Amino acid sequence: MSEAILKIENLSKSYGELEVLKDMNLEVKEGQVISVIGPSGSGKSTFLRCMNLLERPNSGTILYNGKNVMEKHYEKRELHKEVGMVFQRFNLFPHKSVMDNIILAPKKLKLGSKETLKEQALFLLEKVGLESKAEEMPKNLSGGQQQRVAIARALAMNPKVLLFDEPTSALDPELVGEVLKVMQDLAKEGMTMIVVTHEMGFAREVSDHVIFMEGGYIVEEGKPEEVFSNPQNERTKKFLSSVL
Amino acid sequence: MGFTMKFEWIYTWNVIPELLKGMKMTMFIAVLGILLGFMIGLITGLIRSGKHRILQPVTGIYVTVIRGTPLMVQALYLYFAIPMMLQFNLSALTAGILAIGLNSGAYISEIVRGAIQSVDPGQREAGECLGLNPFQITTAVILPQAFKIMLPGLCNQFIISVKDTSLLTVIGVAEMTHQASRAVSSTFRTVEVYTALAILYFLLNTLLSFLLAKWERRMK
Repeated sequence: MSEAILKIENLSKSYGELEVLKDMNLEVKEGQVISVIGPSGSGKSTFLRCMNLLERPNSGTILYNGKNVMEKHYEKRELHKEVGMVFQRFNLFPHKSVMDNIILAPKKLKLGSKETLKEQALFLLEKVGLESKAEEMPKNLSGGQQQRVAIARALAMNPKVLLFDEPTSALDPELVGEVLKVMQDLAKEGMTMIVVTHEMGFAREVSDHVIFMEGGYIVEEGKPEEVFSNPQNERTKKFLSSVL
Repeated sequence: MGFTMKFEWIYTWNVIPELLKGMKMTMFIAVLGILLGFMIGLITGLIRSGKHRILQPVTGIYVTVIRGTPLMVQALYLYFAIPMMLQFNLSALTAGILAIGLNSGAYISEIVRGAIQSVDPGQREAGECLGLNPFQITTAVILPQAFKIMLPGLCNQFIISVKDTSLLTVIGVAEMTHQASRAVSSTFRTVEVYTALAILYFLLNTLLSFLLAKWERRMK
């Protein structure tokens, strides 16, 4: 087995008195697709946001490629250059065209000439099926299209890991499929992905590992077929029976 | 003693060229003042929406002091008190522009802060997750969006500053109100001259409001 690209040990997070994550542990290997499922308010999104330090955990360690990113002098921008994020509400830059959304960061970070970056952006747009929308403004796109642009934007940084925070939860039901399809393609290509999701089909079919969270704990985890077909914990059973 | 004069429009009419000279000065001070105010407001507004341990409270004090004192007092202080304390000379015009700049800067600071805070926090997060540094996030992501939100407030502040220049008459800047007072003391046609003054301010600000509204629509 290869070394873990991301390793989380004893991570906890609280907001004042409220403990939202308790003693979380997770090992992510390169190329793995991990789905995080569980009821609302179980801490899934907070867990994901802690992984790239959008939220600062109160204790524990996060090792990225063996380096502890929680150390005081660690520059978290270095992490962000390699660990991308796709948000529930897309968070595209509304004042920039699709193309400019994608090349903004690589251009600012001088990752290539403008022509190379544009070429790469067009390639990524083709990959998410939106090559014809390069010059559109985000507000003229459907939710599903916006989310696909957001995925292309994250990919433009050539991330090693992609985090998805409920990427289809803000979409109309008929638009969910197109986004899941793109994510499935990425998984096939070997992208390391951690996906907080309510899409049980995706969790079951696409991921290698499923985590069920409730009340700030990992209640159960394992291979999707184990967790879905033969859940061991009562709470997992109850949750799955309510959503499946 | 009954001392009344019949209102005669001819005096209103005749004083207009002189007032227009003052209007030029009024606009000169207002435009330079608001440009200065915008720079001050932008910088202090950015600082105030951040978390800097020293600069944040300092800019807070600036805004509180300016908002807590009248512009006329600020102009008097800038023109008379500060040069006297520090032993230097300041022209009335410079003092006037500084007064408008510092005064509008405090209000613009609040406009800027409010606009920055009303940009969706997800925008900053998106920028952060793409590896941008805080300066890049502010200039490329936050400010362009905040600017649209600021526009109505900025336009409003510009009109206010144009009218505020009339208070600079106390330090002897030859703006429109000052010119009117001088015309009154030489003609004694108080009613006619001040009527002309009021009409000119009204026309100027109505025109400016119209132009600014048009500009605002185009920027959106």
